Amino acid sequence: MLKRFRPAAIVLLGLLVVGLGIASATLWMPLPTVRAVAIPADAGNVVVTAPGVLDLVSSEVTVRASAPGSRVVIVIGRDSDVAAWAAASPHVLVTGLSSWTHLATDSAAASVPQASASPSAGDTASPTASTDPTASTDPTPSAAADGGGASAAATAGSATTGGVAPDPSGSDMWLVQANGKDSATLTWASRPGRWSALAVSVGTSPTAPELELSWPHPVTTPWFAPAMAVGGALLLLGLGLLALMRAQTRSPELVEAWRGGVRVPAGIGAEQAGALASASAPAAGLTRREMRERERAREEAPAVASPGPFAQLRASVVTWALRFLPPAAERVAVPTATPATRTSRSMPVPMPTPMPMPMPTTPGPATAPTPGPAVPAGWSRVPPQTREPNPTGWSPTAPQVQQPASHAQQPAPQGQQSAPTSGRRAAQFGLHAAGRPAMPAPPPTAPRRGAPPPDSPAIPLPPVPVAPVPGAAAHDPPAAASTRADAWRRAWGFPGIADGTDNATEDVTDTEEGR
Amino acid sequence: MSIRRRLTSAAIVGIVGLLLASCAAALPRAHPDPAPAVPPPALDANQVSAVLTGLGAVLKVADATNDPAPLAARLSGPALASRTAEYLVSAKLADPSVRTELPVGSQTVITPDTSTWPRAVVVVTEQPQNLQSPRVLTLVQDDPRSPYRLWGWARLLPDTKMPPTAAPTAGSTPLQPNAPGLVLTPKEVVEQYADVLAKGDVSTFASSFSPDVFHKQIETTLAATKTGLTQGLGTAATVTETYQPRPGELYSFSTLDGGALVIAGMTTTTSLTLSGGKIEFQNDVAALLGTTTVSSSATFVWSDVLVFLVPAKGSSALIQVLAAEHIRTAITGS
Repeated sequence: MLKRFRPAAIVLLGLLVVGLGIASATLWMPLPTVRAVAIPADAGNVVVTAPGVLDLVSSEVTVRASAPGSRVVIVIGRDSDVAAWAAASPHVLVTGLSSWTHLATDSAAASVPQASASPSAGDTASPTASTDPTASTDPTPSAAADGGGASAAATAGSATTGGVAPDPSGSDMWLVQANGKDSATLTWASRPGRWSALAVSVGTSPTAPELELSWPHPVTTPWFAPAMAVGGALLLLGLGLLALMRAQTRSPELVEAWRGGVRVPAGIGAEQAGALASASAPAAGLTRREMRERERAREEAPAVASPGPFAQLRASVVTWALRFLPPAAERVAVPTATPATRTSRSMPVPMPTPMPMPMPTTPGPATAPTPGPAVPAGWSRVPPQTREPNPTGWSPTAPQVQQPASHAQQPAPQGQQSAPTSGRRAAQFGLHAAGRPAMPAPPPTAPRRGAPPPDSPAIPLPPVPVAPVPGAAAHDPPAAASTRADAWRRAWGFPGIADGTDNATEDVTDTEEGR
Repeated sequence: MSIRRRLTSAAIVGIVGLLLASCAAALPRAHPDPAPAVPPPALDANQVSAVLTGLGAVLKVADATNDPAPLAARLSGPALASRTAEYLVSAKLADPSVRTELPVGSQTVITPDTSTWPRAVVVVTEQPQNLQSPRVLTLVQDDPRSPYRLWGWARLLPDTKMPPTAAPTAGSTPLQPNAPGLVLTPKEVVEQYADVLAKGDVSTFASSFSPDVFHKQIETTLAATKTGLTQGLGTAATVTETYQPRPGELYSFSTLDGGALVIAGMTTTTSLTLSGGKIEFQNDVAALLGTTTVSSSATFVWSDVLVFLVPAKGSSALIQVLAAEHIRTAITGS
């Protein structure tokens, strides 16, 4: 069941992979610019980037900060300097990317500023003492006058702790800075060391600035080519299997010709060998004339197939590919199953009796394209009754072997197929004949349409085991018998004969017309 | 069958999932350079230039009108006090030459390898246009949100030269006031030098310091004052002078030979006491005092900046004063 959908599944998978590859290079292709925004929660008017964030994506970054209604200042400095500057105010720390469009942020409260070690801050001089020493008449303030001015200045510079941070642009620590009304932008090329950006909105009641970092991003599509290659290969494989399945369904002989037209190398597959054996079994029931004709046809076969190196390759490819397909019988039997077929499928060991003993008259090894029955493996998959004739060393006679007899049901159709087209042969299979009362068992069928060449081997051909043709395999032995010849014709470009799908009634009519 | 189907569908889902996952590249994470064991120089050459340019601009503006108001942006400590006093005198006397000429072009820069505050940068300037000796400027940043301000300047004394220090790109290690490894800790250097100034050769520490021009000048000035007062007022006038290191205002850097450059602030206070008579002052002293005559007492406050070269421990060399400044910043009296 699963096998039937395998080619389709491979095609779908191939399409999927190709689609993903295309999507990775179009729909999902990264933008040439990575642009990420930090929208700060209300935590002061300061945004700081952690070290390493500025060159997160590439070495050149454009920093943009915007705070409508405020003047915005962006600076870049050593990470420790920026952190120390920002520490005195509540601020937002940008730690990285949370997605390709957003920056990950962290809020930090104002920490207690480092106690200034400047002694001048401790001086208690009055401002007047420092600005106008002459106004002072007390020696002590004037002694401290030095520090008084410094203290006042320092207080002005370091502003308040907490609350709104002052304009950072007065500091000497920054390497680059930019400012503007409502927004500011600066670019920064990465350099060795640890650097941070600081964005501050300055105003009477500044809003927290929105920080945007954008990096040019070298766009690559690393998945496109592999996905196309893999997907394309899967697609081809699936389509090839589909085509093969279809061909096998429509004219299994053609497939068999592809594969069997050349000498199948020994050990090409145990299944196949088993099939060879089982398929050849019915030959025992043939008349000598049939055997001769069959032999003649077989001799012609290699000539037709002209097994060259390419053909051998093709044969092995087809043989290999067939493994991916379910047995034709299974594929076919399900949709077109008739009561007869079902009956035969339901009894997997119906025909021990029809299995004749190997015919001593058959010069097996000489005519067999496959040298010897050295097919140890896979024998177990063949029903026991087909194995019986073989221990004698009798080798399969038919090069155009059937599908691997991998299923228990398989012998039944094969047995049916291998039944000769003549009513006499049909009668021999008592069980099956009984199971198919509708079978008219017509004589060898004439080509349904088109005039076959007078010397067409189709008519005199003895029944040969053929692939279970849909519908026809079970019901229409004449058609089955003729499909092989049909395959030859097709291979040579002659008009084909009846499709394997013809039902018995139709065939009967055709046969009658042909007469 | 159902198990196989489940397995197959699981495999397909897995493959598709992998493909999708691989199409979406992982988010980059921040990989900053590791924090260096030794902090990099607090300022690079461009930043030092910018600081000096800013200082020069402020000085230029303030000098134009003898107005000390703009100075606070770039001056602090002894420098601010000294400049303020100079402006006062300069304005009163209408003589700009009383102001110390402060070039802002640099010969040598010492940058600190630090990530803490306060931070100090030392600049040896070019020679001033008046051909006085180059200044040693000490620029200090008190806290992260403050600019670098000129804390003090000192004139290189004759026959001295700056010790070899690390290039500004490498930075010099700032030393704590109690840094070991020197013949004296920086704090001890200033305290003992103050003692030597006060006591002269009698000081127990006099042997640690090589004789220097600054000490000689202090002694000479004090002696001249005493002589003059004695000549004019006899025993009615007494003069005392104290030397007090400014607490905490001490900036030290290691030099390449293992010694240290120690820059210290000091306040010199000269007190005159009169039991009779009066003293008339002129010129700059009168300008600072605001009057010309005192009859009971007068106090002179000097802002001093001293630059010492302190040898490494074990060295037989003496501590040397490389540069100094001694500016009268305030005079009170009555």
